[in-house]
Amino acid sequence: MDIAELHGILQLCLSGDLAQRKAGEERLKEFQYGPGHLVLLLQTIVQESVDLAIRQVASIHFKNLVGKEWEVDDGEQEKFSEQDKKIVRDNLLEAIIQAPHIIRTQLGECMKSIVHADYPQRWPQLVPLLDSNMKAGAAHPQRLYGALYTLRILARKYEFRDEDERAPLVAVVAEVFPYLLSIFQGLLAVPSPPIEVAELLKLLCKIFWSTNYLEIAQPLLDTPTFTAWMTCFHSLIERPVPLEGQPTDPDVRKNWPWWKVRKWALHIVNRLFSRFGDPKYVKESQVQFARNFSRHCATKFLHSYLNVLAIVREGGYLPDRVVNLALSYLTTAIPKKEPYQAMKAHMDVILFQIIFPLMCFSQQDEELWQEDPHEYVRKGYDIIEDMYSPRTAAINFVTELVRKRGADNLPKFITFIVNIFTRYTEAPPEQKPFREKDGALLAIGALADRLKQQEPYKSALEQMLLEHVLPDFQNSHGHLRAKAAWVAGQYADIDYKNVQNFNAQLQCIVNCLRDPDLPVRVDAVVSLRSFVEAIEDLNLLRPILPQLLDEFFKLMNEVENEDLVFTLETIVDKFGEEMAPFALGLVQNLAAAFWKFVKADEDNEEEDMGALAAVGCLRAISTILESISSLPHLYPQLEPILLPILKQMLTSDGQDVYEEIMEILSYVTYFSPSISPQIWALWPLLIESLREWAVDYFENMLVPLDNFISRGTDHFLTAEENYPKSVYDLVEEMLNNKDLREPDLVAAPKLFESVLQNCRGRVDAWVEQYVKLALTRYKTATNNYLKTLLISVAANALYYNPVLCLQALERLGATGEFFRTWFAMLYEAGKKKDSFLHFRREHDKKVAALGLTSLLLVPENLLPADLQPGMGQVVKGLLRVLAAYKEQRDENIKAAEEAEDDVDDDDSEGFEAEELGEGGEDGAEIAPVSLSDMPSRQRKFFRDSDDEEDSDDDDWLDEDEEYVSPIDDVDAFIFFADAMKNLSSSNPQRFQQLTGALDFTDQAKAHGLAQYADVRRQEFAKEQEEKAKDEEERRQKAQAAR
Amino acid sequence: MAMVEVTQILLSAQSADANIRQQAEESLKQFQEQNFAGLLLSLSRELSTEDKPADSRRLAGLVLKNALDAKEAPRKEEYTQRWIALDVAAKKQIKAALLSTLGSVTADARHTSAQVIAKVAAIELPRSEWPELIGTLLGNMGPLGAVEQPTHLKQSTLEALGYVCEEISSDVLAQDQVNSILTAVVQGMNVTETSNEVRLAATRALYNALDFAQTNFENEMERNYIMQVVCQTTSSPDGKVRQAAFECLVAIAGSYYEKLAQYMPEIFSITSKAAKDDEEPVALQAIELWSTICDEEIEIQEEYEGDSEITNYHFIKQALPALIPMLLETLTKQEEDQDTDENAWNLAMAGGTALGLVARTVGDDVVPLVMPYVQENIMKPDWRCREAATFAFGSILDGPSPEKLAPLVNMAIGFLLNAMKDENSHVKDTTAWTIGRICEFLHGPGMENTVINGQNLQPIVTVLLESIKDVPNVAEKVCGAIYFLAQGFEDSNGTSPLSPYFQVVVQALLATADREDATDTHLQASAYETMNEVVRSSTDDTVQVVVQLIPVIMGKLGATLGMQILSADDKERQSELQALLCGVLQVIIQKLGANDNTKLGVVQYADNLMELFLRVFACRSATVHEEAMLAIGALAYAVGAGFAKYMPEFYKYVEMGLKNHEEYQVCQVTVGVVGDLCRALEARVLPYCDGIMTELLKDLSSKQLHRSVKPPIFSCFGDIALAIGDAFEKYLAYAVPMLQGAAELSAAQMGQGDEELLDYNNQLRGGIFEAYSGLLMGFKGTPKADLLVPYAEHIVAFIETVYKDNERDETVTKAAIGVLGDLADTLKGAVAPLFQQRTFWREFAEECMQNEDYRIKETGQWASNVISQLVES
Repeated sequence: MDIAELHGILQLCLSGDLAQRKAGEERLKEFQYGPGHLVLLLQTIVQESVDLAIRQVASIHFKNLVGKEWEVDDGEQEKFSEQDKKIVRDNLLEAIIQAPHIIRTQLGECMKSIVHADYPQRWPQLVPLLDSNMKAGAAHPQRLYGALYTLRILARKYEFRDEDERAPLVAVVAEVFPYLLSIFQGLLAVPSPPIEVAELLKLLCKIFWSTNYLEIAQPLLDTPTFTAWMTCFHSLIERPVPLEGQPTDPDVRKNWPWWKVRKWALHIVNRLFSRFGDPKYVKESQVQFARNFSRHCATKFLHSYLNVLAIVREGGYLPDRVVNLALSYLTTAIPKKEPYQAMKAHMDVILFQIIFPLMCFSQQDEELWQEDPHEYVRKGYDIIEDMYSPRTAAINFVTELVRKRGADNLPKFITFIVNIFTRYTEAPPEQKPFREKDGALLAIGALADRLKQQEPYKSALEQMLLEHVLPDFQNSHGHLRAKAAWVAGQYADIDYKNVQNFNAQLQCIVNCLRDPDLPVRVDAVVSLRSFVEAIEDLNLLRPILPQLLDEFFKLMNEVENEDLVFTLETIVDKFGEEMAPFALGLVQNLAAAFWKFVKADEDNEEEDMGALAAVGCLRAISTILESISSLPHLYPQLEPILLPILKQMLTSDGQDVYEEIMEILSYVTYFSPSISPQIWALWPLLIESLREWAVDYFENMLVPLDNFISRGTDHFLTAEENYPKSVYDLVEEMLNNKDLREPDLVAAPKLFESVLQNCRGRVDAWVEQYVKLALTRYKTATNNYLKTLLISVAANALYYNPVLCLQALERLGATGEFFRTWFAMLYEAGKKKDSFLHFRREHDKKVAALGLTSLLLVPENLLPADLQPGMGQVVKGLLRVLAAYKEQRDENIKAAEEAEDDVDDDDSEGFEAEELGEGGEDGAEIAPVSLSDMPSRQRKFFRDSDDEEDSDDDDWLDEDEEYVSPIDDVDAFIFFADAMKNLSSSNPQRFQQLTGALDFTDQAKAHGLAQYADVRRQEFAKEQEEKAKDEEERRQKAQAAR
Repeated sequence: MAMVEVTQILLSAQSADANIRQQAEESLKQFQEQNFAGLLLSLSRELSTEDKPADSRRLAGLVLKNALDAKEAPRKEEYTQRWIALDVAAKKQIKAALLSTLGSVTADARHTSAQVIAKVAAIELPRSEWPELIGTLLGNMGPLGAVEQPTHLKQSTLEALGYVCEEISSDVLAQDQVNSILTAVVQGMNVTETSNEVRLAATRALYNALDFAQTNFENEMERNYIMQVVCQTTSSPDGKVRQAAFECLVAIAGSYYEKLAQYMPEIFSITSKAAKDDEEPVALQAIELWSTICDEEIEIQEEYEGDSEITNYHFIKQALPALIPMLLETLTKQEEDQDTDENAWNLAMAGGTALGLVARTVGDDVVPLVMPYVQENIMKPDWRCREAATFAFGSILDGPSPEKLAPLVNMAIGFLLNAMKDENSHVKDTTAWTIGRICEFLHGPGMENTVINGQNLQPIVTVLLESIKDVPNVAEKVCGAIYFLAQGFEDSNGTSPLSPYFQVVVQALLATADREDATDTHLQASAYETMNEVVRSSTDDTVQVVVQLIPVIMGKLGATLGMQILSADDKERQSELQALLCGVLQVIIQKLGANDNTKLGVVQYADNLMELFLRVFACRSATVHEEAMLAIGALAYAVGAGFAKYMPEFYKYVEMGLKNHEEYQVCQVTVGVVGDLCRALEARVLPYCDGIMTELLKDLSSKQLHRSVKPPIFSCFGDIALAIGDAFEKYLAYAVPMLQGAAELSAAQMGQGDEELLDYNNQLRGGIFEAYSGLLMGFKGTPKADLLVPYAEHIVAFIETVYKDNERDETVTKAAIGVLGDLADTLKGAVAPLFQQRTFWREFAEECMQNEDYRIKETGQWASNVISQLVES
């Protein structure tokens, strides 16, 4: 194909006629891998003489091709010749430099794909090329722009990379940073700069951002360079944004390049301050930077920020995001000595002229309330929205200020709020300051935690609610009714001196459920939760419970909001057995609705609404099932309603709802008093669906399967269906299926584990086969997590019965190899020294420890000869695992304690999404949501979704403290200590032999673990006692209910 | 290799007969020269052979040890090289013999061998030789709790490990070696270890190993284990072991303060038990532990205030309610004769010292906890109670705020003055010390709550002048009180509240210095030192008394020349007294010389003074009298150009001083005096410059001379150049390469080493810059200024490296920016291209202009102006 022909085809693709367009696209597809095709496309794209529309369509096609096919998986055939690729690489930067904007964005995407695939190994020339273009940039701004644009793409590749993967970036930084600095300085010195300068500055900022996101770039550790950069950012923040040329449309205006530059500068400085600005919290290599920053910049920038914020006070324009960023900086500065002192001098202005006005109900709020109440509600409960909002930032500032510097500020702030209350009360109706009142209520609500604790406020709260909140439930302004409902909820748990006052508030909330304004209803339902939690006399609600639930479901149909579900859960929790009659009815209703939606879905192919609604029904059923978990006797009543759904949806009909179905099945198998034959009858369906099409849900299915095994152990072992064989066959088939991805297989060894742990002493016949299958599959496994789980099957088998397991290993001739492999894995460190590359979860370590400890219990004469000399190593390995297990436990416990008040405020991803539009990889950047933020039903049954081994930091989602396992009743430390004690008394000589050779660190571990075992002995006894008590309570409650 | 039979020689070397001894030593020396390896082998065999006499074995070890190590660095290096050069097989044999001796039944042999092993290790381990040493030693301990190794082997092994740790620096050992040492140590300290000797050796070894255990202290389990072992050992039945264990705790508190939190309850309980009930050496360490924690917290408060990296855990503050009673209880455990023994150290003193540190750590909080004790005990009939109460009161005077203390002191002062007449001299001694502390901390110019006022000054002076006649130790404390009393009035103008008493005070001090019993104690020195302070505090209305003092002191100094010298002791006493008197004269000269109105009072005696000083010099043989030298420096300053007439006579002592490499302080003082001379004489110093420069350049090349003298020598170059201007030309070719060499050394040292090296490097750079500054200013405006142009590039390059160094201090900053300005100012257009090329000066000047120190700011401003003009024109 020659270039003319290509242009013809591209022209076709632009045709208004669908058939022609399709034909054009087909033709393109035919040629797409042809030699020279890429080159021709690129030629077309850069040729100025060609029609721009054709160039554009060429660039889109080019982008798609490069994006999909440039990089091929290992072993796959290359799609393009190396020669073509080289030509593309050689010319792409030039193309970007020359291209008009619409084409440049497409080429930028290509650049991104190629940089990701080829830099630095296959494209070492890139940086010198960028360098020379940057240097030429003084005379050709377009060259400079293109070079920076590309540099940003390059930097972004490494933005989230850890230290050990950053080497290429470090080299680039060393090369270009000095010149970047001089560009920066030059741009800042341009007098009355044109808008292009802003674009260049923005790119510079982004490059800086990406290179300094996780680590401080090396050049900045040098004090003079540091000073120079900081001076640049400082003057960037200080310089006024030009007035001329600002767009008038607010949506366009906030994205005006000069505002964007300002925003980036603040964003960068915030990041430096909060992540790298405190010598206490940075690693060794960055201490110098942190010191420099805290000594020379923190306060200086603070003053600049205050100058920026002064615009708000003077009624000038600032984009929301800028306000938000500026306030975040101030918030970060509160606990720091020097910056706070500097801020303190201006505190009245900050609090009363900047912060408080932002908390008030604004004109925009008013408009949204009127025009789109759904959007108003969504915005109010949206976390992302919160991230950008000046109001949230203002609230954060005040709460942090009160928390860390309360003595200086709380009294005067409260005085200020009280003044507003009083003014509002005293003003004649037409002059009442509604918006300020709204802000004051928000402030009072936001400070609830503090005010509830501290006198004199604490004892004045009830009166305050009575005087300043209760009347607003009748307010003609909807937003004040909503705010009253919200504030009342924040204080529902205070000690009311007069219970009538509590009841009055509750009555108002209940009334609000029927308010004409949607936001009021939503706030009321959310607030209701606090009242239900705090209420002492349920009789107040009991009569209206049906009606309450009714309102509730109505609202749930209208808006999707997790907070509503929490309220439902609270109600169900509180009323417990009283929910019984409603549960049945609710589930019936929901099931009926479900079938209706499914049917509607079948009838009406076009809309997916039915399917979505069906999912909603199943979720609601799950919620109810979870809420009545303390009433197991209800489950058999619900079973007949649920069974048809389960049965039907375990066929391929259930593809869209499989997760929900698994969840329901999990509840049914877990909470029913016993697993009924009808439910057991679902087992083959489960297995079948897994074989046929549901392999992606293997992990989800593991939960009910585990429940079958653990709660129906006897039936599992004795039924004529031979379930153990079914398990073995399934696992064998899965593990031997070459088409399955290894991460999807992790449930298979877990299933073995479930059998070994639940049926301890009762599946002797299967042990050898299990071990054999796991160790055989191990040989070809590459996924680290799968490897851990496979080897843990043998560890589980050791714990199951060490002698039996050792005999099996001997018969398989695998003893030596198994132990070598196991220990190599135990000692293989991850990225951090002494960390574990394998056995990353607490659970894995515990299983390994139990297995190893079991070995110590084997009489000497039953130990295989191979193993005898290695027993010293076993003890050392065991100490290593246990010490790491303890450390991880301690860390997780600490993290859980800290998680409460430490919400990750890292806000980069929203920002990026906004900048890159369709940028594809942003999924990786979503800020981790802490476990406690997840709805509980997602937590309880879904054990771990550890799908890849790529990061050391994913442990946060790794453990699930609520997952129930038979080895929960064993404490690994006590088990170990007992085994050692046993050994030292039964065979002192062997004990001596095993422990005498320990060196200092191992002695210290042994000593520390023995002490810890004593601590655990007490804790564990208490834990077990509590568990038994809980179970007893549950049992009694269930009986009473029946 | 030929072995030598050394037994007899070694025995002879210890003979009572000096002749035999000498002969033996001679033959050892001979062996050493002829066959060094053979001698060492023979000695090691002697040491390791069980049937040899214990005496010869011990001495063999000692000789061996002394062949491996020496105090003086050059010799030590020489010995090190000698050992390294030794035949490998011989070294191996020697080391094997040493290791085998650790198992000897003869205690002396084992012990000596352990020491020698450490010396060998000190040479070899840093060179990664003898890698098996630690492992072999660990092997001696046998597996934990297994069949017992011989006790004496374990003991000497642990001793050897301890010595090894003591000898080498902590970066020499790999972590697994450290772990091996700790393995051996905790095994030795284990409660199951029945031998006290082993436990003691293990505990002492741990003490030496602590610095190596940083990684282990980071790890919680290992730290817990160490701490538990140490704490357990503090309850050993053996006092020495307990003491060693507490010493470990003290060291841990000093090195690992930030890790202590979780052990504080335990630490408190064992230290208070020990302080209360244990034998004194142990109790002292228990108290020392708290003093150490105080030191740490004081350091954090003073040095790292606001530094968020370092946390102050406020252990002392938390422990205060229990800690104070514990310390107070020790105060009544005085010894009967503690006042007269200068080096006395006992529980009461340790307790009081700790209390003082606690007061500095927590400030006001200490007062309400201590005052009830003071009030309760101060009147008790038992002198121990009265003394303890006074001691407690005196101890807390530094730390709490003056606002808090002033009312208490005002109430107490009358009482204290009375107590100076107490029947017990311990009480008087402590009371005088306390009054001194009051003067030191609660009295002074600009202090709002000063407690000395018009009403109580007179009674205070009266009582002090009365008590100065008391027994020497009391009199000495009184001198201290007068010292601080005078110091507090130092900044008075025209007249001082002390003026009415000035004459009597001076007389009392002279009389005290003349007391018969003053020379045997420290009293004489105290009296003269106090005299110096009194002189410094003199005002216009008392200056005459000071002038009159000159002939008096000269008379005393003259008298020393006629002292009868019969023994070395006499010689030493004479020298000490001369030092004190020269010191007084120096202070007087400085005081009077600083002011044109009073200068004449000194100058009139200049001839006599000079004559006297030269005689003082003359009465010593080889070395120069430091204090006389300093006094002459002051005199030169006061006399100015007129000092030239003394130079012909004085110069030889200058040269002598500059040649004194052994006593580097003498050399240093002389270098300083050369600076004084340059300033006083200006161009008239020229005739002596050849000689001076020759000596200074020799000093710089000397390996023996202490390095701290070198920076002042560079400054001195600057002084000389300033004084003689372009006449310095002839020294350029010698002086500048020295400066360049030093600059390179300094650049190479940058960013390395400890705080001490860092300080030194800053001094060195300061010296270099002062030299360049002097040179540039000296040559400025002369026709030969261009001679300096070739050096400019090197200077600027050096300044740039210094500029980039984060560790440069303010003095260096100021000097460096100054030199940049001087370069431009002196060399003008010739260096313009240099500044155009190396633009860092802009940022540097900018940085200086931002500095808070106005001198740096001004210098930066000036330099920036000079250079900008140059670059832009």
